[in-house]
Amino acid sequence: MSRKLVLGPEPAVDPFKERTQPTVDTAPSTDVRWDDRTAGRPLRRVGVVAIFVVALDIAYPEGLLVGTASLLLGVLLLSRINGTPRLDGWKALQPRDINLSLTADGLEITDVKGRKIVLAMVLNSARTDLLGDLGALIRATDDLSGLCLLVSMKPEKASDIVQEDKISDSTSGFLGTLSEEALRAYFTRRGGLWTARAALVGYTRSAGQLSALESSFRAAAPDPSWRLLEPSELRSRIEEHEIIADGSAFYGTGEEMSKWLVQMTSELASEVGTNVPAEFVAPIREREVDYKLGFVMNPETLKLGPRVGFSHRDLEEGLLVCGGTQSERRRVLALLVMELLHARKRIIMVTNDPDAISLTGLSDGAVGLELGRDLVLNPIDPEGVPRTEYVPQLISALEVLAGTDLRGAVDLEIALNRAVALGTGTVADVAVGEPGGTSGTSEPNASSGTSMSRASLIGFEAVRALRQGSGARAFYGMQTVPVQTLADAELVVIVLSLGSEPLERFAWDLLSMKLAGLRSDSDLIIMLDNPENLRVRNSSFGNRDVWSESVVHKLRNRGPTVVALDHPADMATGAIGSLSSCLSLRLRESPDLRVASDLLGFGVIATGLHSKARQSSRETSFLRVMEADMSVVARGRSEIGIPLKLDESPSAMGQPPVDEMTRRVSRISPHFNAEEKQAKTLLEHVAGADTDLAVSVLRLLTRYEPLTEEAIRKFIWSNKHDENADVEGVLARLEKANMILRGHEVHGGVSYMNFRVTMKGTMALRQIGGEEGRDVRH
Amino acid sequence: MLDTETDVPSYVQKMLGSIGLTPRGVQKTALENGLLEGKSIMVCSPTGSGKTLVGEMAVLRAVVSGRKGLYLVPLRALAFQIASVFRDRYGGIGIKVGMSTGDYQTDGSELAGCDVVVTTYERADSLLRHQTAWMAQIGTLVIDEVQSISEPRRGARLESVIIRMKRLVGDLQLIALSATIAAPDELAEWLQCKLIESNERPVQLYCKVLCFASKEKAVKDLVMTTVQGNGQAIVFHRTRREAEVEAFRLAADVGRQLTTTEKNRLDRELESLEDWAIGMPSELKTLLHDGTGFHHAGLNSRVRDIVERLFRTGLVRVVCATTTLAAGMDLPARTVVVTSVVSPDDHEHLLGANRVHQMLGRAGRPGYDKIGFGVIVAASEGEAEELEKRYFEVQTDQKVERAALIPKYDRVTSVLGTPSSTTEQLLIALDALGAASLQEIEDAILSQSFLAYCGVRDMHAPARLINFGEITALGAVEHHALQDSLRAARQKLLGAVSFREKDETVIGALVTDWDRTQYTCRYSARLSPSGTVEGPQCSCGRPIDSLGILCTHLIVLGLSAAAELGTLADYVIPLSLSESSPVGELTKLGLVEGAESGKHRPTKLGRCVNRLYLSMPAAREMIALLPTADNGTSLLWLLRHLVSLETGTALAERFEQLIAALATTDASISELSRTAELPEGDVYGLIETGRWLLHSIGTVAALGGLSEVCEVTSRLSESLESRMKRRDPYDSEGG
Repeated sequence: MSRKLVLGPEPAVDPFKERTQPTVDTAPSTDVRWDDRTAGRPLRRVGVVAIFVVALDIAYPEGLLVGTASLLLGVLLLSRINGTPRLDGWKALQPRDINLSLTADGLEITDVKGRKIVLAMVLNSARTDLLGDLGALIRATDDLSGLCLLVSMKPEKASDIVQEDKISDSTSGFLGTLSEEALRAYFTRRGGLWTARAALVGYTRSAGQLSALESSFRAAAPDPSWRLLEPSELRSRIEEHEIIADGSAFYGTGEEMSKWLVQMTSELASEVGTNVPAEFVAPIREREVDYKLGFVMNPETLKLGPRVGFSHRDLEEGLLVCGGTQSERRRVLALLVMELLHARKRIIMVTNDPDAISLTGLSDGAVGLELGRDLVLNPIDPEGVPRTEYVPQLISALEVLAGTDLRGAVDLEIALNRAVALGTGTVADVAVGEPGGTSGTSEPNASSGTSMSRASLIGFEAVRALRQGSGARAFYGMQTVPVQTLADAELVVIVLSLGSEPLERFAWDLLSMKLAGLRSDSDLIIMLDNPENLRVRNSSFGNRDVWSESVVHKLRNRGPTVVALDHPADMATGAIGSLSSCLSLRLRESPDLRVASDLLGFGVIATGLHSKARQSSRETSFLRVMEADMSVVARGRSEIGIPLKLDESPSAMGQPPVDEMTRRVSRISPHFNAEEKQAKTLLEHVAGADTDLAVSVLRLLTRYEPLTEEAIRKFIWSNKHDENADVEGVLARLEKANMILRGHEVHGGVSYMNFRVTMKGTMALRQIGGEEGRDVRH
Repeated sequence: MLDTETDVPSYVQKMLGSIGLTPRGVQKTALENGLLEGKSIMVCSPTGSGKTLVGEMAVLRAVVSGRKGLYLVPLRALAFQIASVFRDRYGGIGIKVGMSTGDYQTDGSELAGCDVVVTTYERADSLLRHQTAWMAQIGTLVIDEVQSISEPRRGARLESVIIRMKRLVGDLQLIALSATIAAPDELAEWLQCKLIESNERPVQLYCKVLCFASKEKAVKDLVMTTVQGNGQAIVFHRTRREAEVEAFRLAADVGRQLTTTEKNRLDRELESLEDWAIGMPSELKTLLHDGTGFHHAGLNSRVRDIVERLFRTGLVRVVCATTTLAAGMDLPARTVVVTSVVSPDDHEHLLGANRVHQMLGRAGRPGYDKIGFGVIVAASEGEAEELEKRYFEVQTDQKVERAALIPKYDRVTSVLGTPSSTTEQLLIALDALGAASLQEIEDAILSQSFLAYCGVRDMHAPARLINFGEITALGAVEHHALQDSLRAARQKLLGAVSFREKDETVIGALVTDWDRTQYTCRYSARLSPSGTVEGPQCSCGRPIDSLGILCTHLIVLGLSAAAELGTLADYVIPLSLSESSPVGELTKLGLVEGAESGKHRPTKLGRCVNRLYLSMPAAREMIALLPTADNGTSLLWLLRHLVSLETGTALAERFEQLIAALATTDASISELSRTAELPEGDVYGLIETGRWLLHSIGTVAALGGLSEVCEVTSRLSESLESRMKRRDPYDSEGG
């Protein structure tokens, strides 16, 4: 069976054979193929003018004289009539801020940034093929050199080149058959026809580099017609602000010129507009850098540039270190810690990497603490965070342990509030009912739980797990080292490794809350290495996006923050948005690359209304394959990714001996300040930072007992001018310490809680100044 | 003022005749016992037996004799009612009737020209504290509902008023009008009045405690049975909300029983010019259209008047009311249903028997009904039994073998010795006496008091009736122990003590009784989870009885602790028994200071606080917070706090908004009460209390030299006063 023809049955007669005479010419291509680009004036016009002048001269020789004389006279008269030109409209030129001088090395320019040697090449005629890659030239130029490309373009009539045999015969023949309209359309489609001149101006800091610069120019645009300008000529051109002088030019279509000069076609799609993406543009401008991590590296030439890193402001606005392996991230953090230590900053680093303890070798004052072994975090100690903020946060943190939403856990909230208000409470003080009272019990049983919501019961169970479960070693008891004390140390590395994901997450949350509650301090840098609580993708702990966002936001508001995470895509979008700088190590997964591209400015354009989100494929593939010691840095939302070759790991890393570490730990432990503590009064011991408030309350009650709780609160607010004064907390502490006694009074069926000062309270007041007998003026 | 008559009795009788009043029953008996000759009389008779006219006649006697008559009532609403009756009856013959409620900040001199003054117990107390001159001209003092003397706080004030009035006016004629109480002769004896007792009711009352599974259905059945029999019913509830809801529940069924003519009459009444723009809530109007209404203190007085008038005329068949206003409502009905006997102020206590029987006594309309039905609705058999035992004696009629419930009344006792009253009474006494020692004051007060009378009368009276001085553990125990028990305990006859707890809040011990039984006892000043002080506790189950007497075990513990623990016991035990040192408290607040030879005298601030009629807790909070009230916001907060304490209401921020709006806008009070979502009736009371307390703040601040507070207070005060002066005519409470 014969194969059927796709186009149908074969015609009976071959139509080409029947054609006796061809009616059209065929051309291999309709593109403009140049024979000679040199722009020229049409001879026809020159000839006509010359013939006219010669004929006039021959026919009327006197006429030429009369004409010339009357022209000169007219110029003379006009200048007399108008008088001397007034200088009113003239403006004085600013004195030049550059100085040009000819030296043996060439033309030297001295400006505010120092001395430079300039060279320039002009292209007034070009070969038929425009060869070169100016984009590569820009990337390859060393950062110590400068580069400027000048192009002058003037539109031309298309019909001229057709008649002047500038283009190949076949194309010329094709164009010759076109009507004038069609010819214009032909060139319009190709960006018009232009006469062009181009010049390349570059500078170097030293004369020795001039030849390298010239070579790179010639290599990048390998056209023999480039002419190097003499230093004197270049000087006069710069002084006249006319690098490209009038003179010979060459033809080119707009399409050709753009391909030759711009060479970023993929980015110049219609939707890009002016938003040209950041490539790895070199030379990198040198910017202010406080903490240097390595050298800029040109990925094209693998040549190293200046040292780069981050400024302190970058850390204040939040830094994300992502990608790579744990050891690679540790290397980055170690470099950063080194730099910070040199700058006399203090660092608290929280990590779940036990090897990170080796960072304590970087400083003699560094301390390594392991949660559950050297450190107990007391969830009931807010450490300076206002109780009204702390307790809701603690409930959110407990949700991880409880595995449920604790929003309806009113009893739990009340119990936590009460325990936190004590100031010296532990998780054992989180009790149903009054702590220490007849019904106060820390274990909600069936009878006490009958009126309690299910959420509260689950919450109490979670708290019980902290006291009686495996988390007890980390969370049950008074806090061994206050976070504020940690903040005063030079470098503290806290290792959170509890062996249980929920417990570790809770620890991360708790520590984040406490760190965020520290007073704002620009010299204290918080580093979170692999913070489990910020991982929200595919998490089995419910929707924690908002929570993790608020954690990062609060940490950032406190001061400089660094977050290191292997998969940036694990973080909530809002949390990433709070961090303005980024250092990315090698990334492999597409979601991570997507996030990193955005942070590093690789995204060409965000997802527009009518266009797809696109990435610059070259750079993202670079992120996938770059070496272990390479990274890409974007600083302060500059949207420019800088390839960076990291320095070597600090050699001083390594865990100090146990004895040494014990000595350092004991230095920051509370027992260190035992002497200072002994000097405190009883009231200071009870009320801590709120001692003044406690004294005010006791003095008030000494004079006016029993006083209702409302009145006490109003009195304190009015006197302290502080709406956030924790009156209830102080009252709870004083009550717990038996310094005041709670009672109640009834007025017409309405019960009021009231307080009176006890004998112990009176004694305590007497201890701090014996003022209670005095007439208290408020 | 009338010309003084020589033949007073006949002139008074002539006056009564001229307005068509003929004495009957107790009125006649009172006349026979020398009412018009100036004899002091106490009338104890059921509601509706005409006690008020006895008071009226006595007041007329005083006026005709050229003296003034003072008529005291327990409620503001009742004062309005009585004053308007007096004006209607005697205004035409030249008797000037004045009325004063609230306005504690003024000394009442504007009432000097009045022949008869109708006022509340509290205002009378305030006038006495101000030492108003015309009080000495009073010839007759009528005290309506004198059984209120045993009510907490107000009872002490009433007793104090009686003592001081007797001291002020030598030949005072005292007319005490009381609902039926147990042992009225005792009260009459203390008052030095001749007792006229009558248990005759114009209509026979039949009481019953009924138990129903569904209270709502029971009330509905009872009410509808009455209404269908052409009768009227009053249903008493514990709260306003319950009363309103019940009215809505009954309205549709009651409305169906009304004829078209009756409905038309109701509509005409409701739309009459007289009732126009009185601020009646629209929902009440709807209810009244169906012959049902509610009645409580949240309604303004004119609305209450309309409800009462429509009920009296028979157009409204059912009224749902609160127990609080029971005394102020003179509305007889065939059936009275009491849905709750729990005290509105304290849900842990039941209403007193006298109060319950006062409500039930409204059953039976003279001239219309042959029998009245008083029903208490209980939720269970057990509760029904308990209530029967508490409020009634069961008598079985052998003939018909049917049990009848005979009302059982409470005895009236003095509350002058309660800790909340003693401090106030001490300040009053010091203000009246000037410098005095505590012993002199105790003697002066106790010698004439009902408290002392009760102490002598009762075998069950504590060893120490009152203590003005420093409080110790021993003093506190003596105030709560019988003399015999104390003596036995001191002789170690009651048992031995082994201390188990000794801290700043609790003193506890194991007490071994004389028969070797062991009891766990403790005095605790801690707060229980319910929010009240734990107080004395004993494993015998009755640590303290209803009269405040401790069990013997606690007495033994108290005495041992006082002897062994010293200061600790002096601190814990008084706190546990809610006892405080009146003189210590007043001294600490700067209201009283020491004088020569161990005496005490009131300071300027003390006199001021006393005359401003501030309660001690309110005075304490005011003095403590006064320096903070130096701006408008703080002042309004303080004002709200004090008004809450004085009125016993938990006021929210809308009170501050109300006062601010009142001072700065021209909106009517009806509008403001709607905006603030407060019942209009309450708003009037709150404004009145607010003005008084604002004045008090200003006065105390001026005394303390707090110029900023004075300035802020006077600005707000002026705005309020000018606003109240130019308020629209319909804003006037009670007309």
